[in-house]
Amino acid sequence: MTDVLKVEKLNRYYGEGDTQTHVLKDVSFSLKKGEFTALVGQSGSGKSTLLNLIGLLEQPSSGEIYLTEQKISTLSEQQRTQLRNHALGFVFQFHHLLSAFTAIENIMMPLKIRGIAENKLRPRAQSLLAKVGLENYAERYPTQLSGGQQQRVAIVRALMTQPALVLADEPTGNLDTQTADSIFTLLRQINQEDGTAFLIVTHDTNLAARCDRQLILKDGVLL
Amino acid sequence: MVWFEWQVATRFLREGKTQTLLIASGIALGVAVIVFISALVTGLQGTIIKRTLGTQAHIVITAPDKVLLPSVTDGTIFRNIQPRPQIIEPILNWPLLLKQLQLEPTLKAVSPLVSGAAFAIRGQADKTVSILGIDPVAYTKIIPLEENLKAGQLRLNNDEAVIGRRLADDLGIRVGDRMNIVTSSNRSLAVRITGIFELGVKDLDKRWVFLSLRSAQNLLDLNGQITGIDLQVKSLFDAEIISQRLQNHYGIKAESWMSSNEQLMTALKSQTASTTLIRFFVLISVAFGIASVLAIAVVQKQKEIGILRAMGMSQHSVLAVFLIQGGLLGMFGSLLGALGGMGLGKMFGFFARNAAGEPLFELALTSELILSTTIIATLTGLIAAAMPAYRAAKLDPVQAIRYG
Repeated sequence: MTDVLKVEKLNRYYGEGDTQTHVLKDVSFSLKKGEFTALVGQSGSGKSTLLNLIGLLEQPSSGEIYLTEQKISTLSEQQRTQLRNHALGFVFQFHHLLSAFTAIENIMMPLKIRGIAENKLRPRAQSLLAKVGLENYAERYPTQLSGGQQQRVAIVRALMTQPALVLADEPTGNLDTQTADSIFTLLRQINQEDGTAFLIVTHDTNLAARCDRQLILKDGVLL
Repeated sequence: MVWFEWQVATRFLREGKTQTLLIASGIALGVAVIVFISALVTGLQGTIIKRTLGTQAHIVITAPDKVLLPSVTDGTIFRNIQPRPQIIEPILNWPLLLKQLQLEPTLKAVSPLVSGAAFAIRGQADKTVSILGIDPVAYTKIIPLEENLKAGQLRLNNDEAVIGRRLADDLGIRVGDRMNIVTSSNRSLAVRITGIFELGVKDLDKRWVFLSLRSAQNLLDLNGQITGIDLQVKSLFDAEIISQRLQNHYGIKAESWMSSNEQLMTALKSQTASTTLIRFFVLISVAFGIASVLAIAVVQKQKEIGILRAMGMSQHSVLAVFLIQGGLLGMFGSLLGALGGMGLGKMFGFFARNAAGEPLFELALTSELILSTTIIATLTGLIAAAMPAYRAAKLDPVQAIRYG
């Protein structure tokens, strides 16, 4: 099976001189297509930094990232932006939906960014909403949805582009246990049906245990 | 692609409704002031110029001044030079010149003129007058004499004259009466008054006596010659340039209304300059208003920008979103402002009336003014949005998401 993501000797420093901190130390690993992986570690261990690097939102101090077999260091800002749109889906801890747009508009957003007309996107967006049980909430604005509903919309948004890899930063961190569980189940289900790879940052050891694989980060080192 | 940015921009504006409306009214106020003040000043100037030029040709052509030609050319320096007296000099070969001038594309009307001084005598009374020999058809295109006729008609056959109201009063003349005109060289002519005009300028109403070209030529001993040509130009403020060109080209003396009304021109110019200054500063404050509101909007929308960037929105698109917001604010505000300015103008027209209830002057509320103001304000919005838009585009998505 091909690697969706390959990370090689990744280092990331913040600051300069005496105050310089070494956040990631020679991190190397790879994710296979359809792999459902948890990234665990205490706060300050470098999880978010690693996720930002993989999400092409930040650049490593040294090392290399291959996303869908493309070498990242050689890409321009423009190309990275495009790759982010095509290969990745993001689910944040706080849903981060755009409050000025309805649920279905939020879902279509990543593809509208590509310049695809809304009427071509609507059927798929609607069916994805149905899949997470929100078919009747399409025209609602984010503030009119509950926390769990918001997070489900955010997940659907991440899936809209059929990305090879979905990066989820504490996707259940802000939800009660029951809702968190249903969201996790949903992610797992999507993973199994569509073969989308997931990298999920979580504190929750229970959830982590239900993943295919756990990557444990401690003080910037992958154990 | 722009459609998407447009949608995001309008949604952002609609989401911050209060903010959008506030700044739009701020812009509207500024634009209303610009529209109103421009219309006011243009209207005022138009009225002043119209009144001034109601009794003046745009350009007056006369024969060139006589100059002193020194008979010695060996470098002698003269201590005292006595200027020559300028006698009335006819324009050479005027029928040809007239034809050539009629073909000038910058000119609207051309009218030959014979002028000189004389006395008007009736009974015991005599008054100094200016004789103006004209061709009524050509002349009314220069000065709207017919509109200002108080009695009789503008008819100038031989031995007929049209005079001003004040002269008529002074000499006790009504239409159909006769009077004598005597020149300094003792030629005289008995004329019948066919019309009485009132231009509203005391001096002219007292002095001007219109005769036919031929009568005036005979009276002033000009023998088929003329002393001047009155011109009307197509573009009022080009009169000076045109007059200089005519002067050089035809070897005649040409004086434009601009140089014969120097004080008026200075007043108009400083008025225009102060208006421009006011417009400029109002526009600047509008620009600052838009810029500051958008700067705040960028901070408010930091998180949204970060998410959009994470989803693959390019920096260019983010830039476009905020530029569109600036442009839209400028356009929306200025359209509102144009309406406001027009309303102000209408109100002003209602209150600023003379004793007779007529408006003091027309406001120049042209569609051209409104269109140009709107376009300028929209462009100002775009320019004002440039800095905030650039900052938004350069925002680090990680920071934006984390701290937004």
